[in-house]
Amino acid sequence: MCVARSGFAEMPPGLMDALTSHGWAFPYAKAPVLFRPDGIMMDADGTARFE
Amino acid sequence: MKLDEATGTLHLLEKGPKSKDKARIDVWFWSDLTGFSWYDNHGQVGGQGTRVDATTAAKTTASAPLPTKLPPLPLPTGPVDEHAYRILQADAVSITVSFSKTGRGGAEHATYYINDATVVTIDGHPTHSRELKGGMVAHLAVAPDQRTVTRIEARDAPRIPEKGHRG
Repeated sequence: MCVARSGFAEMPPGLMDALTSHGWAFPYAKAPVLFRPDGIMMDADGTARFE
Repeated sequence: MKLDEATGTLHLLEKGPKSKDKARIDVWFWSDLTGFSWYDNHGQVGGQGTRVDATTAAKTTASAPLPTKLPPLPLPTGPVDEHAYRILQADAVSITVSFSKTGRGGAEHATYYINDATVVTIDGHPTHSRELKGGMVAHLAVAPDQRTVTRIEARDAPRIPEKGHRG
């Protein structure tokens, strides 16, 4: 996963763990979607939807 | 996906469609990590997503509420001129306000997220956050996550004649 830096708010502590450890729901993909450590977001059908 | 480690913003690029049709989504996670606000820069729409705990067996270290550096904004209760905050910057997804009366206080400002549920008015007329301008004063109502504003009631700053101005 690429990491960039800029100035705005701050990344919530534990975000990386929560990202890859939980399923998530939002309108662009069938829930639960999973954020994989390799930077791919998979939908519930196992299809890579976002990178 | 690309994670901005400094801000916690996650940038998503849709796979598959031709480049001009790809959804380009920015995601901001709430400080308690129970959900997030998102904005599609291509379709110019936004909304909120939620965590679905039952789907994964893995444990997280972030299940308890976690502190955020953004200070809670005291909710205004009186007339607009007494409790409004000066807008330093605003766009489709965020607003930065000053807590100081002069609007110049160095550290006395905070940035909050705006989503499609945020109600924005200028002089009482419903509008979009893109119409907000630096220098306006506004009442803000903040969501329980203390990072997202649910209502912005803005109006133009009062005009103050320059020193020495006559007439």
